[in-house]
Amino acid sequence: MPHSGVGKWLDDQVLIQTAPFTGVEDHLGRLQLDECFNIDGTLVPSMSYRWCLILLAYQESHPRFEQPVKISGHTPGRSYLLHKVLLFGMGPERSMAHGSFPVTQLSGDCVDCDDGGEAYLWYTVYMRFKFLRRFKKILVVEDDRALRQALVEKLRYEGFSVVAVE
Amino acid sequence: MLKTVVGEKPDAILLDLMLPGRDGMSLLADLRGQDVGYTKPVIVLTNLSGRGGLLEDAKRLDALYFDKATTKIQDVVAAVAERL
Repeated sequence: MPHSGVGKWLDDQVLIQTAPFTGVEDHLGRLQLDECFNIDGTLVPSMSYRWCLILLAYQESHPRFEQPVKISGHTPGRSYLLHKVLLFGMGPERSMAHGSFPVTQLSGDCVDCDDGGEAYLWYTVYMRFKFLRRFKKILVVEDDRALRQALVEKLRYEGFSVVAVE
Repeated sequence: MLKTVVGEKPDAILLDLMLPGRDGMSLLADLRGQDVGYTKPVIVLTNLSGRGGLLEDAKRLDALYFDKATTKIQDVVAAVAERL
C-alpha cells in the first residue's frame, strides 16, 4: 500500500499500530484516555526512543465508546469514532505481543474493518505528526522579542512543545 | 546560559548568534564540546551573515544556518520539522 515520504521518518522513529479493542483493553486498561504513559505506568518522558502508537476506534454504533473524538478520512460509507490514542515506549517482545503492522502498510484510511467492533483504523498522517510532536521540545534562544514570539507561536501551531529563552 | 540550555533537554535548538553577553557561536561550540556532547539539531539564526567564517563555523559545528533578513519563519519551522 503506497504511503508518502513520511515513511522514512516513521521507520526511524515510530511504529504505528492498531489493535483490536478487546484484549488490548485488558492488557492496557490502566492507560488513560489521551494521556501518554509507558507500559509500566510511568509518564512518557521524551521522544528519545522508539514508540508505539496504538489507535483504537469503535464503530459509531458500538455500545462501549466513551468520550469519542470524531475522525475523518476512513473508509467511505463507514463512520468511526476514535476511542483512545495510546502511546508508549516499546520493546521487541511487546511489539510482537500486540501484533504490529509493517510500516509499509501505512495508509490514511482504514486497512481493515469488520462488524464485530474491532475496527482497525489509521489516523491521518498529519494528525499523527501533530500528536507525536507534542513530545518534541524545541528550545528557542532568540534575543529579538518579536522574532522569538513569532517562532514560538508558529512552532506551537505546528504541534511542537516550545521553550523560549532570551 | 549553557546550563539553562542543557537543563531543558531540548530535541532541537534555534539559536540566535547575537545574545546578551554571549556569542551564540561560542555557546554552540560549548554545546557540541566534549563536556556536553549535545548532538541534536541546532539551527543558527543571525543578522551577521556578512561576517566572514560564520557559515563555515556553523557547518563545522553541525548546525544549519539561516540569515534572518532573507529567511521566512515558515522555512525555519520546516527545517526543524525535517530534522526531527
